[in-house]
Amino acid sequence: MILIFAAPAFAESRLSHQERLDLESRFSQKQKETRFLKTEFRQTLQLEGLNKPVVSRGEFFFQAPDRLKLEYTQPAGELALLRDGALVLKKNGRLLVKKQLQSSQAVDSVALLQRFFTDLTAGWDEDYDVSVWRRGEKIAVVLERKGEPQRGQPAKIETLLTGRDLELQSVRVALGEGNELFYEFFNVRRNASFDEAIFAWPKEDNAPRRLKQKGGR
Amino acid sequence: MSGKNKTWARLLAHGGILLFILAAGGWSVAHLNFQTELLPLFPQHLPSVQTLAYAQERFSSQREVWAVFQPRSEEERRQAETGLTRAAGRFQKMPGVASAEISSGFTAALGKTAAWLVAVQSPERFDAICRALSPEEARKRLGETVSLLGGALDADELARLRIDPLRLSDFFEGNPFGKFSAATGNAQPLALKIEAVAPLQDFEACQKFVGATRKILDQEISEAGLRSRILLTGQPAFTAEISSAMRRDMILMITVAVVLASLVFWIFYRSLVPLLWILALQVLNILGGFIAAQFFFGSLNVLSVAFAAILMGVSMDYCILVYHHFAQGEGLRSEAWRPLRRGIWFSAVTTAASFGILYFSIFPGLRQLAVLIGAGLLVGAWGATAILPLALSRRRLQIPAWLGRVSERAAEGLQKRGRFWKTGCIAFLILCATAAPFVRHYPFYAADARRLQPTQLEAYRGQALLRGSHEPPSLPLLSSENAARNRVKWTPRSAAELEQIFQQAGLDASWAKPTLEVLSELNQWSAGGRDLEMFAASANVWPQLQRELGDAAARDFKRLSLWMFLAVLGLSFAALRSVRLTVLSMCALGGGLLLLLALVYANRVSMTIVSLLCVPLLIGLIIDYGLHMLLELEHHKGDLRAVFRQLAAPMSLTGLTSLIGFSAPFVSSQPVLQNFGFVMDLGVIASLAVGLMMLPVWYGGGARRPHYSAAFYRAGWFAAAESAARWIPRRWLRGLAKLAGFFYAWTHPAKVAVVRRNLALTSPPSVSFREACRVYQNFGANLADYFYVSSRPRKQAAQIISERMGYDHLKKTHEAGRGALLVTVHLGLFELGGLLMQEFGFPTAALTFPEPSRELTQWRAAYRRRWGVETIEVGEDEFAFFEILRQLRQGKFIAAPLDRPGDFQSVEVTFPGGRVRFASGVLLIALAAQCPVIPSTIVAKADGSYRIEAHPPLELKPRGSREETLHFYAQKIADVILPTLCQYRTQWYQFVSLS
Repeated sequence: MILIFAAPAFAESRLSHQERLDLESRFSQKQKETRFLKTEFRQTLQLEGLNKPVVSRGEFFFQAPDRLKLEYTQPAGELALLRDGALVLKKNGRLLVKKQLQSSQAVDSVALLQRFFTDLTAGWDEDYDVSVWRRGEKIAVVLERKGEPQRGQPAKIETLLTGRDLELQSVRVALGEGNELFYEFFNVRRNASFDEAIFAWPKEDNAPRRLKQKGGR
Repeated sequence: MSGKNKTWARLLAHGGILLFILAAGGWSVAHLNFQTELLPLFPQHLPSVQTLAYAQERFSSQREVWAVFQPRSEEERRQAETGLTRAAGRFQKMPGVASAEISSGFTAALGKTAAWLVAVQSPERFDAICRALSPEEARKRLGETVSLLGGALDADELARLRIDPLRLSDFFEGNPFGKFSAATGNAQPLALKIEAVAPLQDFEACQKFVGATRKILDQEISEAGLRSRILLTGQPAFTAEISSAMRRDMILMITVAVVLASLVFWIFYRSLVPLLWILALQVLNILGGFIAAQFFFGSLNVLSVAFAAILMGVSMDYCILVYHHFAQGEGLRSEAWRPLRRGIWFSAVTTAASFGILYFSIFPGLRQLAVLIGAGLLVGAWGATAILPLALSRRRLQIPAWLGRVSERAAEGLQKRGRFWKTGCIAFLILCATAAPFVRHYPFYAADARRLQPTQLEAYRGQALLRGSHEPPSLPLLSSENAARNRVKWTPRSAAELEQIFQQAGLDASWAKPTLEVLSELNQWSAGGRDLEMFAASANVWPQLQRELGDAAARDFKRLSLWMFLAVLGLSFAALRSVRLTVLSMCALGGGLLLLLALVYANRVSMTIVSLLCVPLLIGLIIDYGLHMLLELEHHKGDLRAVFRQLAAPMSLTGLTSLIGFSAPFVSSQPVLQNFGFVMDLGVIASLAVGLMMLPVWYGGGARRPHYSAAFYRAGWFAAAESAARWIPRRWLRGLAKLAGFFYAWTHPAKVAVVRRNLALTSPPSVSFREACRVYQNFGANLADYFYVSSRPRKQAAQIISERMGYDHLKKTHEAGRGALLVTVHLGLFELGGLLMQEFGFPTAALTFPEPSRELTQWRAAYRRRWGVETIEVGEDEFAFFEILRQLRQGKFIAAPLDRPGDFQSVEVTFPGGRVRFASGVLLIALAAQCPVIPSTIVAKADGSYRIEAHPPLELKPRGSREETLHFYAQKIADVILPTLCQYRTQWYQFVSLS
């Protein structure tokens, strides 16, 4: 009986084209209304040949239109900051990598996340086969890469949203050969007051000249 | 031996040679080891070549064939993996296959690359790496690596950690891991290694094995799209592909060349059977080359065989010249046959010698070519001069009339516009000199070894895929000092222990594998293995090979070109026997090379190390064309129409067939051969332009040249010779002069031919070359005596006259108070007569033509004056007639040679071998003066002394007409002199043609 009642919650059906357009429209509207977003996240990295997946945690910040930051609490002190088309990684307190991202190079997971905050389904069609599914109370957006994936490019991306208010719940990035990166989001808060300093560039003295030169690709 | 026996003996000898070439050639073809690799063609002592050879031996086994596939999607990878696994199962059951497994060739290469990077680090960094590999440190570092997988993620960093979990690359200078990351993820190709039981040594074995491999793969991989993208590589695949491509190319090239050349020959001569003979002889040439290659090397590279087209280009020329000779109605007995045969042989020997010099090249490929072409050319010359005439002499051959007409018009055009063409040549030289500073940086020779890489081959593309990149990673070079130091410091590590540490850290064997491979390589390296160093060197070897080959070729070129030039110069001189013609020939050679460079520049191409071969070919062609052209020009005394009738058609035809032959590589699949063919074509065009245009234009008219040596017939030399004669004993002087005379004769065959024809008038039907040479030797000895006499007191000088005959005739005439005409011919030392006449006390004058220079006329007049002999110059002075008449009436003896009338009045007299013109003007004077004519001769005897004879005087009386009188007495004088002349004909210094 329980199974019968619970069945609609697990049922999966593909959204029609019109439904997909409606969804996109609703999502865009929601994002347009969002100036700032803060959420907790869990990052799980599964690699082939690795006995246990590596789990990391932290806080996720988004500021419209394109700033994004992952501030890790586990491991503490690490961050990934994306602003003005550049990515800064701070890892284990000793490494800072600064990259200039190109619009066509959606290689980094951080860049992928940023893209989801602007275009849920639109604009992905060029590289991916896009399908949107209703899974019970949730909406799943599935992107499957067309043709041969380049090195580091995801073969498949699956984004899960709450069906009612289209809140981002998880992003699963399949990298092929059993390698996978999975983000889960909790306690989403929109448009709360925030400190601009969250998205400030790391201090110059934290960015050795050598590494700066390496950026700007 | 009688003439008939000689002919039979010659036929038997030629038959024997033919049988030998056929039998030995067939055996050589069956037993020659045909190589397909490029590497053996390069100097084996070059470090880059040794590295490549080592890499080829160690890293690409003669037993392994790889099937490589680059999937574009996971789906493709799965499909291909399934198909390759099925194929591997079938291969394992196949006879002759030892094993078949899906493997990653690139991982091995990556392991070696990383190991070499470890090996060349500075000692401090190397020590840090060694510490990182210790068990405690490794455990710690792996733990850190796992923690690094959390937190902020960077795709490149993840890729690096996947292949370098111990983060040894942290200790490397710079970050060389950009190139390694390509090995990760699904970009890695799939590779199936099929190993044969035994090494596949020859083409057939390779082709068979590779063919069977391909067949099974085709059967097991059902998707056509995937099937066509599976590349077979490995050493046997290279051999199979190159050999079958070469075989296909060669068949295609030879077919195209033969068909087109035959077509052109038919258009020129409308003759088929002789063409088949000529083509059969080309096969004989190639067999000759193979025999020599078998004898010298036992093996031959297929690339060298492809260059056998050079043989076709040159030796076809010999055959066509012979054909043209016979088609003109000439035969083996004709006068033109001997110079033609001589020209062919000298051309063959000179070209073979210029190629033969390449035998001393440090490039084994050039050594092979030198032997192949040298031997082939000599067989070609033999076939053209010994076999082809036998085949052609029985046939009725004819030259189409249009060929003659076109040849003559071309000759006329060249003659009429001679100045234009000369100006053109000079303008071309000026242009080259002016343009030289601007074009000197143009890469006429591009030693780009990459051009030699067979990039179009499936095996090459497969190998590149297997290595992970078309460009090998740039690694620190072999000569790293760090490597030598670190090698001593390295302590072998246990792979099992390290693998266990990985497992303890939660990382399975796939994570440990790259590090373990590095470890294994380093362990082998420290134990003395060369693999690692040679692998590193082979990764950088192409630029190094390019540099070293370029340097070696430049050194070789400098070293050999001098010898090649000397050989060509010496042999050209031996063939032409004329300094002037040899200089002309060398100028043609220089002009041809310059024209080739100009054409190379105009077409914006560069010569590769292979097409550089066109230089000896060009030398061969120009020498060949030049020799024939110059010998014919000499033979026809510069009559360009006659020469062009003889040569223009065969030379043009040869040029066309050569162009066709060298254009044949355009249809091949080898860019190297295409470049070679194009540059060769430019060389042929340059040779034709030089042979058919430049040489005839600059040769000038042979008939206008004097019969004497313009260089030595000068007053200065006469004075110098007289001075030398003062202190050199007469015997030595005569010996030296005879030697010089012989040398002059040997180097001036055209002049000797004139003397032979003249001597034949006294001794029909012909006179040998040796006898004609003796004329020059005797002339030398007479000249020695001429200077000896002038440098000694009169009494001592007169001692060389041992026999005086007919003194009474002179005395009676003198005592009668009458003058007399002493007539003679250019026999012996006729100037000696002056010495004797002074002794007798008879006043004498000598008639002479003006000498080439005023100084020489004066010198010779002064010489005669010493014996009281006056000189009366006849020529432009119209009053000389009266002077002679006056002196005769004064009772003087006037000496005059009759056999060189020049442009003056003359009559024909009969000699045993024909008719000769005698000067008659002087007889007319004797008739007018009513003085006797005394025929006289002065000849050298066998002991070197002289005999002087004055014959009974002839009193001249008018007989009928004046012409009749002159002819009668001229003949009478000839009849008196002829017995002595015939007896001492090698002292008849008649160098002007009497025919």
